[in-house]
Amino acid sequence: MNIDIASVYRDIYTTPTQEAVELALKYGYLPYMVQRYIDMLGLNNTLKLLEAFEKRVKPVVRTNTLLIQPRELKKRLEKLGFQLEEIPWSRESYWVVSQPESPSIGATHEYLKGYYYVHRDATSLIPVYLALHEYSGDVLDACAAPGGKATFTAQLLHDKGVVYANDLVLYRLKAVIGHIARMKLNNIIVTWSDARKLRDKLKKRFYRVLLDAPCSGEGRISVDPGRKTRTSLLDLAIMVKREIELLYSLADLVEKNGLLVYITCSIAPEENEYVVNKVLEARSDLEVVEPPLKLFNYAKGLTEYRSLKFKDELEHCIRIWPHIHGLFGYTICLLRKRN
Amino acid sequence: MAPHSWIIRVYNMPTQKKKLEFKQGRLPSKLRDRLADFVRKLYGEEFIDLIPVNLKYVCFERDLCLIYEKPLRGLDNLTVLFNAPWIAIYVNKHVLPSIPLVARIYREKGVRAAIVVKEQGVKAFLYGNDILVESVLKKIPPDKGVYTVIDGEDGEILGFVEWSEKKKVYVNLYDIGLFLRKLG
Repeated sequence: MNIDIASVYRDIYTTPTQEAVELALKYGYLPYMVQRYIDMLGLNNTLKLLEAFEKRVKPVVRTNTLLIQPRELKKRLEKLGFQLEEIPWSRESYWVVSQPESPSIGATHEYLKGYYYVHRDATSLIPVYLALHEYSGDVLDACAAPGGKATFTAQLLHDKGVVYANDLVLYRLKAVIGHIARMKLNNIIVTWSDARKLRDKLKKRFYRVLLDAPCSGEGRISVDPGRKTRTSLLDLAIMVKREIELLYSLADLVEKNGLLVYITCSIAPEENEYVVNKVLEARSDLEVVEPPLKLFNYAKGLTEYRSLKFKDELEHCIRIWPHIHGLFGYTICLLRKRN
Repeated sequence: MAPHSWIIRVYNMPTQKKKLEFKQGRLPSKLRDRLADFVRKLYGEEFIDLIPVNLKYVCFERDLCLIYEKPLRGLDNLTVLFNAPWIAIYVNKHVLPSIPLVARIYREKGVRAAIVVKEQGVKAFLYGNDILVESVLKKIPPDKGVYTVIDGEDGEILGFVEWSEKKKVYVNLYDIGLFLRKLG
């Protein structure tokens, strides 16, 4: 699929208002980002969102249920001085509410022994639950590093499927392999490739493909404030082009009636609804479907943004908002390959 | 292990300024033979068949390589870096069975050639240290000088040690904490 960066740039270009510029200065953002929030949410909710981004989210401990039961792990970590809180929609995971001075949550003996994985936030659990709902079989995780979703998928599938964990960045794959060995998982194959080339390199097709696309990471500002200014509009246009190419090409790896789960840790419509809409316009074999599982009250995807109109089915996408859900900003769209 | 496929990448993105030494390839047959000898000596002839014929390795440092079975089919055009469960490890010039492989042998034949270790010893071991004699709760035969380390609290296999007559300690050959220390 040929994407012209200039046309993407024209589509996403905006001139910030004085109001957006002032808020951007106050909170340390690029003005176009704040203008986007105002355009999506209105002024009041933009203020709530900007304040939410100033708050730290709680890290999450996800039990490796192949080695230990969640309650036993909780007991052990609490003995070390950690305070854990149950996540109502994830039976194997806990929010880390407070930590002792030592050890850190990523340095306990229980961690070294593979009893759990530490997620920066609970959002990355959601796409795995959605993808594996009433499913067993092989799964492709096309951009798998650092390995949270891939190891969780392998854990839930156990002996009922193999996870193909691919990524382009070698040193990040090193950590993925470390997690797999540490957690004693036995159903993951790790591959090193540009995900856009997988359709030509892989003979196999999948009923489940996860694409957590490399993105601006704008939903993770609470843990990485540098992202307030890291991505210029031109950088964003380049990312959007790559995201469209990734989604378009990976659709070829999905079996008929299979699901392609498009995920970004971004709340930018440019990286989400815009991307999915572009791919839907180019391919008639995909449709956005409703999430099969309601873990909590998700917000809906956008069907319009500024002068851009998206297909109605985009409302089935899930939006996670920091100021509403108290989590990272995240967007998930489930695309089914038509029969 | 012949460094016949070293690749060094330098990434240009601001967050990726890292050099990485990395190599992979087909495991030389002499190393597979060393692994088979080790398994034969400690666990018995019948477990040699658990070591696949088609083995590959991936190294992220000169002295740390993971050995895995080549996936069966459909991936010939892709660079496969790893296939779980890993079969063995090459570390500090030793070729040793993986924890999943030993666990499988123990499931079939019961625990052999192992030391069961107290909590303090386990903690030290997981940070890469040796195990003192005082930390050993129980020694399980055969006594061949090399042992798997078993956590006395939950029975988990944690790695391998070798008895040093000179130092009078069980020297750490590898422990499961290595993956966090070396691979991140």
